[in-house]
Order: sequence, then structure tokens, then C-alpha cells
Amino acid sequence: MPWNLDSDRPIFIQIIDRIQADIIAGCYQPGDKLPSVRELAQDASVNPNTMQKALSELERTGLVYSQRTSGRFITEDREMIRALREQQGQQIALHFLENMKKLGYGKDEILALLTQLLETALHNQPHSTETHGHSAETHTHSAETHVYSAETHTHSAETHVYSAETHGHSITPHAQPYNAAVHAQPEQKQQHKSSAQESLAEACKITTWRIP
Amino acid sequence: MILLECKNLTKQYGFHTALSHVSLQVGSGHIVGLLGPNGSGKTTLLKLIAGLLAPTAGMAYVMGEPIGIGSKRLVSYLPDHPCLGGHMRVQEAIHFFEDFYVDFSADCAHDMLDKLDIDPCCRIKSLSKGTAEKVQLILTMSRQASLYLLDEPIAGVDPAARDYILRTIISNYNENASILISTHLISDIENILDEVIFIQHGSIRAHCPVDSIRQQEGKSIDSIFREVFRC
Repeated sequence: MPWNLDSDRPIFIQIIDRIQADIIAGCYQPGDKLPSVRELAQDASVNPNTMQKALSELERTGLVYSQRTSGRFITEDREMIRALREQQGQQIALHFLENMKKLGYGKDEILALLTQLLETALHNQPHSTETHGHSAETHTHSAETHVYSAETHTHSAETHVYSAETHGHSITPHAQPYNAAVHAQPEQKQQHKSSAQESLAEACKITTWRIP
Repeated sequence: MILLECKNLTKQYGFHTALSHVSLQVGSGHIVGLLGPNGSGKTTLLKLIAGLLAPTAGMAYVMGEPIGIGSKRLVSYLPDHPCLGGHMRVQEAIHFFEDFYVDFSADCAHDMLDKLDIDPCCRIKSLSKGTAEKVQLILTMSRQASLYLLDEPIAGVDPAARDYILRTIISNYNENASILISTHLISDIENILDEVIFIQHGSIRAHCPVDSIRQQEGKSIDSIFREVFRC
């Protein structure tokens, strides 16, 4: 996975964000061992000292712990991961609301739009919620499914907006269910991207998180 | 630990002062970018540390060793222009370096040549500009030195090979070594830098950690450079 670091924020902060996102998404499971500093640094094409700094910071927050000789591990405190997920979800939602406000959307409009989008999204991905929360074990796993489905939703949101552009606010009820493999190419997402669409895409991510 | 220390380093070429009273310290395990506009004294500074020029005043020390034979053992220098004889084959250049430096690893050099798809039997003069630069960089990085001085290491190299070279720099240097890189391709290398030194008219304008500048200014080093040195 490419790391896509921006040039205007300190790198170690972006690395922290990225690793946190990976933990929330379940790419790293609780108790998993992290790769070595050098491996991670090479993977991200950053200075090993920067990577070290980021990991020390994560250690300070308790999300990662180190065992003197055997390396660094992800915390087994699922409650902490859950809290982090909630906090990040809230942040993204606030960010979305802010952007929508800039576009002049009112409360009712936002709600209507989200409901609409959610329905389309659910229509396309009926199974995404079913696995959720059966046991602690499946919980993290389903988190993965969630993000994954959120991405698919993002795509459908875009199709939706796109069609809205061409047909003047009509909704396409039977948007094609997109397959994740197709979706994996980010170029597809780049086309026709406007701030509204970005907000919508983010909205979809959030709302899928909130479905359960 | 302080790996490199310059005290009041001054260099004059006739009446022209290329470097005036430069004092700096670089600890071990750091990758430092030496950034400045053309003619600001970057190459002069590197050459002084490499021991290729004699300072007009002041002194530099590498691991406490004054610049001289002792320091040259510790320093691996990449000049900004081709320094290998064109008649040599790449293979012969490797032998040459092996003969010259105790800490040179021919295996490491062959490994990198292989990765970058360079034939060791080619004559250096038959190589393109970029490939010749790659060979020279490979030779420089194949030493187990304490301080690497890289003068414009990636200028003529294509972007894909640039990534490979940067990765090589990250993975090859050991934790106690430091690297001083002078370059204009700031955006390409800024992610691997710990510190930057801004140099202008032969004096140091700033020497600080990259993360702290990015945090303070909310900008990349590249855009800060463009602002500071706006023409």
C-alpha cells in the first residue's frame, strides 16, 4: 500500500495517523507484531528516525507497546481501539458537516441527502452489516469489512452524484454494484471530483460506520 | 555524539569569499539536507569537509579527527561531477575502489548494479550521464563510512531510479553514520531528511529539524525554500 504522505504536515504525525487507521481498519489486529522501524521506514520512504519518533509517540499513547527484545506490538486493549475509532469517526463527521455548511447545505438537506445515499449504499451492499458484532473476535474483523464496504459506497456515491449532474437531481436507484477489485484503482475516483463529492464520499464512510 | 563539527570554516577564492565563518555540528545517525541557491557555497563546504580544499581559516573535524588522512577514512564523498576515468570499465572502477578503501564492499556494489540493471563490463565513457551518476553513487554508498557527503546525488537520475536510490540510502547507511546531501530536488528527498541546513552567500541561514519547520510553517521544505530564496 502506498503511504501517500502530504508535504505540508510533519511526517511523523502523518505516519501516526496512518498506523492508527490501519489498526482501526484491522490491518493490524490486537496483539500483532509491527514490522521493524527500518522495514517500515523503507516501506514509507521516510527517514528511520522519523519512523522511530512516530512509533515512540504511539507507544506513549498506549496504542502500541514494545517488548524489549522482540519488537513492538499492537495493544490488546480492544476498548482503546474502539474509542479511537469512535473519536476518528466523529472527527470525519465534523469535517463533513463543516464542508457541507460551506456549500450552504441546511440541516434538513444534509439529512435528506444522507438518508438517500445510505439507502442506495445499503441496496448495493446488503451483507456488509450482517457480520457485525457477533463476538469480540468478529468485531475487529467486521471493522475491516466496514471500511472496505465504505469504500465501495464511496464509489457508488460518486456514481450517484455523477448521474445527478447529468439527469438533474434524479437518483439512479439501481446503481451498479461495484466490485472492490475495480474500485481498487484510485484513478477512477479522481475523475469529476469536486468538493461536494468529496464531502459526500466522506459522508458515506461515516454513515456506514454508524449503521450498526 | 557529534560526528561532524565545523568551526568558523572560511574559504576564499582570491578576493571572492565562498564560505564565511561557518560553524555547525551534525550528530550521528542523521540525514541532513544542505540546501541553498546556486553559488551559495554548498559544494565548497562539502569539499572542505572531504579534504579536497584547504580552508582559508577555521577547521572541521570528523569524529574528533581534524580533516586529513584520518578523516578521509571515515568520509565517503560523492563529487558533483564525474570523477572516474572514462576508459575504465565499471568492474575496474569497483576494483579500484576496493583497493583504495578498506571499508568498501564489492558485493554491495554488484548487488546494486544488478538491481539498477547496469552491466559491469561497460566502459564508463559509454554510459549515459544518468547511468554514470548511478555508478558513482553506488561506489560511494558501498563504503561503510561514518559520514557520507553527497553532492547532487540524484540530479541526472530518472524518478524510478531516484526512489530506488533513496531507499538504498535509507537501508544501507548504518545507525551511527550520517549523511549530508546537497541537492536542488528538495521535494524528492525531504521525506528522508531529519534536518536541513539553509545556506546563502556562504553563511548558514538556518539549521533545524525538518519536522519542527513543517509544524511551525505548515509548509513543505520545498515551498519554504522557494519563499526564502525567491528571486
